[in-house]
Amino acid sequence: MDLPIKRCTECDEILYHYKYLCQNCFSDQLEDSTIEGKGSVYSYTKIHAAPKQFAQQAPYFIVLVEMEQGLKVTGRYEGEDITINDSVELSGIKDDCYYFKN
Amino acid sequence: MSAVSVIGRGTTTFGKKEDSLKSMLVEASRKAIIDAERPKIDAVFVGNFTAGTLANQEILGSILTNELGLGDVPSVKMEGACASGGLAFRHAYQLVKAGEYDTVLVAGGEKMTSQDTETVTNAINHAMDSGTNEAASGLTFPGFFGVLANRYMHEHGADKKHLAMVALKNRDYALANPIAHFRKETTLEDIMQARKITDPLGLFDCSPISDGAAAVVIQRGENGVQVLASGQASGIPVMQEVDDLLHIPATHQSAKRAYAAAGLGPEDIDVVEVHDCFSITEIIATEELGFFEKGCGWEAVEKGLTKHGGKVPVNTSGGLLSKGHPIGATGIAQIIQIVDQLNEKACNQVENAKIGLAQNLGGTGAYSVVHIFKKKGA
Ligand SMILES: [Zn+2]
Repeated sequence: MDLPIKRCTECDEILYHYKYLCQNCFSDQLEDSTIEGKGSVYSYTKIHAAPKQFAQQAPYFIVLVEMEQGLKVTGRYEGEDITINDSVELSGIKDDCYYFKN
Repeated sequence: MSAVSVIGRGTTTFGKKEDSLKSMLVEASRKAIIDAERPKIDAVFVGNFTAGTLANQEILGSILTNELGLGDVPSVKMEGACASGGLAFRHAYQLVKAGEYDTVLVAGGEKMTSQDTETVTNAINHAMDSGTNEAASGLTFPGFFGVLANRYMHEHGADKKHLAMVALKNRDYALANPIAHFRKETTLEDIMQARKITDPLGLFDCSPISDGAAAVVIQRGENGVQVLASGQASGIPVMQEVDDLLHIPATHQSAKRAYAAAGLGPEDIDVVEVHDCFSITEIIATEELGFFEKGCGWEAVEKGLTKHGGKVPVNTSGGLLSKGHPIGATGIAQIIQIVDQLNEKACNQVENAKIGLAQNLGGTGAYSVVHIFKKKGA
């Protein structure tokens, strides 16, 4: 699936969806948009010690994904094993958490 | 601009303690003031991160000032996650240097072990930007450094053994430090086989949850170890927004500013305390501070360049990894180790140390503050 982003209507910069202004041109005229949800794993970790909110789910993989169309994105990987440079794509978003699969 | 010196120092022991945050702050401060021969104190700065969340207490400046009987002198608490102590010191230093105050008490403390680990992990996560999808992903504070460590090993060829060697060095140094949280001999094998926290980091790669407090008295003049310079920088508090994860720019920039203000460079530093919240963080810090080339910090560890007899002894106190990491106390305790080194009164004394540096990091690189010190009369 596509990854939700914001796009600056003044300078066309691609921004994270939670941004309030464009650091490139300082405009606050941002619109909701998307980029393709494909990327590759820049790095990862498997978290064994988690905070209360996520403790039931541990251990779990966190991946930092370099998206093909720009931006790095932190999310979960739900498979058995993962390594740097693996291709992944966005498979779902739940409670603002991004889930990736091979 | 006036010279400013550290004229007194005091600490509690670090570890799992019965004492309250207030009693620890009072103990460390009392010792520092007595060590300074009880000068008139003009202001009080306190560094702390989680007192509101974990100890149900704020207004630490006023509380400490009242307990010490210092009357109505100005006081404040400063928060910058794990850099809270260093930031409190920096701002006290700036005001003494500017002539606003003559003599200031800077204390730092944290009470962490009275809560369960999950609650503490949650509180420490406040050092990352919670208004992002990244926070919702379940990334933890140690997790950030796990992601960084995996990428570092991938790009530079280091492996888990090199991380373990940092942990072992700091364990060994802590054996001689009477305030240290961990004072038991450990082997590389113990460290390599310890419980996993966040791959590739195991238990010994992570600083512990500690209680403790530390305090110094600083004063205008040259009556002690002199503060030569202070440098501070901010950085990005969201992992996915960092351009190059293997750099911690706040560490680099804060050092650059401190070196420039002191007219010194990494080659002039005889002893250093860096912010080793995790083993990988020490390696990155030694690179960002200019002691080793980018990507070569792990080789320096392997060659023994970060201990006595090497290029520059790093974390002779045992560091956060083994001395312990009562968050608000950490920045002050690092400074105390450097002051002790320059007064020739330190555990793991470095011979002929004249210039020392302390680097205190907040969050995953959100803040960094660097101070450079000179031996009295040097
Ligand atoms: Zn713009």
